Amino acid sequence: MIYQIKESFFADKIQFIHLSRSGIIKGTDNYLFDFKEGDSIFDAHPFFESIQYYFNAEDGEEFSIPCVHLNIGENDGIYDIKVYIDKDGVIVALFDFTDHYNESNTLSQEKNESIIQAQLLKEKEEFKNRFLANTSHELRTPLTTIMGFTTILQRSNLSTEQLHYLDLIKSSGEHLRNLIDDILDISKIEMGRMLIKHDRFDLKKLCENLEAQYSLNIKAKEVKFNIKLDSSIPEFLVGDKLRLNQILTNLIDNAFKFTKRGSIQLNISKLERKSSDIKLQFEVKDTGLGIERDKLDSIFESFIQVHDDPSISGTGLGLSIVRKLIDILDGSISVESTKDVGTTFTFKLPFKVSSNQTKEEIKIEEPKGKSSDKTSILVAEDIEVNQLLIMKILASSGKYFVDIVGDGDQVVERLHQQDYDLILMDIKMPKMDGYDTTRFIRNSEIDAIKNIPIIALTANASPLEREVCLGIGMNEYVGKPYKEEELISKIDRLIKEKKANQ
Amino acid sequence: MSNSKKVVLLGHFGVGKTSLMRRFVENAFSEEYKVTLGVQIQKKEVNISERKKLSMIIWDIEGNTTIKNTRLSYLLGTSGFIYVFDATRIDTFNDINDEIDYLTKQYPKAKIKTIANKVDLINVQGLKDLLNNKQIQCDYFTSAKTGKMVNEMFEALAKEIIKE
Ligand SMILES: Nc1nc2c(ncn2[C@@H]2O[C@H](COP(=O)(O)OP(=O)(O)O)[C@@H](O)[C@H]2O)c(=O)[nH]1
Ligand SMILES: [Mg+2]
Repeated sequence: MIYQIKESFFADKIQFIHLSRSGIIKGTDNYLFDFKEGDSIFDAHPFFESIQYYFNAEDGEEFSIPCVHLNIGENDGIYDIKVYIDKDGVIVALFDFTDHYNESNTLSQEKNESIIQAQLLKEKEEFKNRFLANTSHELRTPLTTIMGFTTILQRSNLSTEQLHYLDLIKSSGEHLRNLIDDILDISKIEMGRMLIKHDRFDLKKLCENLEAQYSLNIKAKEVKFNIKLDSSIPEFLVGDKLRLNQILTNLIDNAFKFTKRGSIQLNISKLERKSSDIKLQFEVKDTGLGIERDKLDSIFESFIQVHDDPSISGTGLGLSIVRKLIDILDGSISVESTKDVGTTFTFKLPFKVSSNQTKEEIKIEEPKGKSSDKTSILVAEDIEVNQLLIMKILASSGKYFVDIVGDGDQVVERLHQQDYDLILMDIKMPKMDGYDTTRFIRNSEIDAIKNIPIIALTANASPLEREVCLGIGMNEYVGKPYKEEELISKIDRLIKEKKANQ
Repeated sequence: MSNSKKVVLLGHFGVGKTSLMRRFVENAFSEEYKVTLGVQIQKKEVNISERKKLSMIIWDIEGNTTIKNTRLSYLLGTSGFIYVFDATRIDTFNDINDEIDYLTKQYPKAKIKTIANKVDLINVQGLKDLLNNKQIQCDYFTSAKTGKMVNEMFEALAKEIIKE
């Protein structure tokens, strides 16, 4: 009785097939598929052909292959398949689970689709970041030329009006450079390429510099700028001074942008201190436009500007950089704002207290008397405008003899013909690049060549590039667009060191 | 008995395993993605030489992020594996070297090919550079959509299998 009920219940879901070991059908119930005795099962569907090696197994063995699609004649479904090996031959059992599997199908479909979408999105994001990083890097090179020649032009005989125009060019150039740096920063952060430093620095000094920097803005507008530094905070801390400064200037710049009158206040207070660990709170408070509540959430996102006022410029990246920097420095930030009253950004950052709280006076010795003999410099640079630019910078100071070559192999040639005090080396050059040339020089048998100071000139202004340059034996590194003073001071320092070693 | 060998398509889901099989067997392609459950099997005869033929019985199995999670019964008795990744999604080939190592160890007799699919969507030179950087070896750059290198890839595998 039970057997009969069971039989009728499962009959149309299961089929048993009895086969010889060579795959000839000896008997079947044909509940699912119409197979004929005497036919080869291998002709029914390639699935069977590909499991024929099971048929040679030992008596008593069994195998199971779940979730197999079989379409034979009219019949198309998904089956779990079991194979039993027996002294009488082979039994194949087909279990029809089509309905069951089709139900789970919808779920997998949705799950897989969403995973694929997410991966493609991530890929696009990475592409965007790489693209931004590369482009902003490319933009620096022509900007170097513009800024450099502007400086040179300022030195020539110009009317007041012309000088004024030059000032405008220069400040627009600075602005452009800052925007490019922003873009480079954000793409580096998003690609996880930002390096964090742990250096000793003077917090009080940092505040003084900020005050000096913004005193100009204060005059231009009717906005007071004020810093309150909690006196219980030790003066010397260990942390990433550059990034802290970047966070503060971004927030203060932002405050100035949106504040027409009133004040901007920076408050720095101590939250907690445990032995050498210290946590500080920074508050940047303005009396500006304020931000509407529903816009506060998106304020830290890339490329979103809360105020769509065309007179207020910027990439809209500033706040997003701030937030990301604070994230990687293990801090947190929040914002409170009331429309037409003002906005307060509050962030918390951990630092270490430096074990050395004494000011080290760094004495910069003036070079002893102006030596009559000029310094001779060899410049390796293949691009003509850049050649001209360096020539002008160096020539206008009047302290140097300058020779210029356009490729690394010519550097080597020149060094064997003449003595130089220093080399300014571009990295990208057509025949022999700056790296190879440096390696060649550092491996020279001649001491005067081997030990010559080399400054890398590169458009790749990154800490990594810097390490590479120094790692292969260059002494200094100047990223484009380089500042005239920076270049000159690095040259002078190296020359001084070289003379001291002689 | 005809000369037939089992070949298995492996790789994450959505990389184009089903599409490669369809292109090879039916010379057809569909943009629509339909998830594969379990395994679907198709057969195609390949001419090796004037007199020699090989029936490739291709197992197109459901995608898995790692071979270790793939049902063993799908992998047993395989003469050739085709490991497919999606040239537009790094996640599908990030740990391909481990996967191939594992396969080589577990199935020392089987032939293995790695395939970058969907190359109609990318700059192949860029991909080659990236693979070089990651020290990933790739045998074929295919597109199931355009049919590029699909037959060539299957036929080359068939020849290698027959050589034994
Ligand atoms: N553009 C392009 N799309 C492809 C190619 N191969 C597969 N696809 C698409 O990718 C999706 C997943 O393909 P499918 O064969 O189902 O991947 P499987 O999960 O590995 O079997 C489908 O939408 C296909 O249309 C290709 O070579 N080029
Ligand atoms: Mg599939």
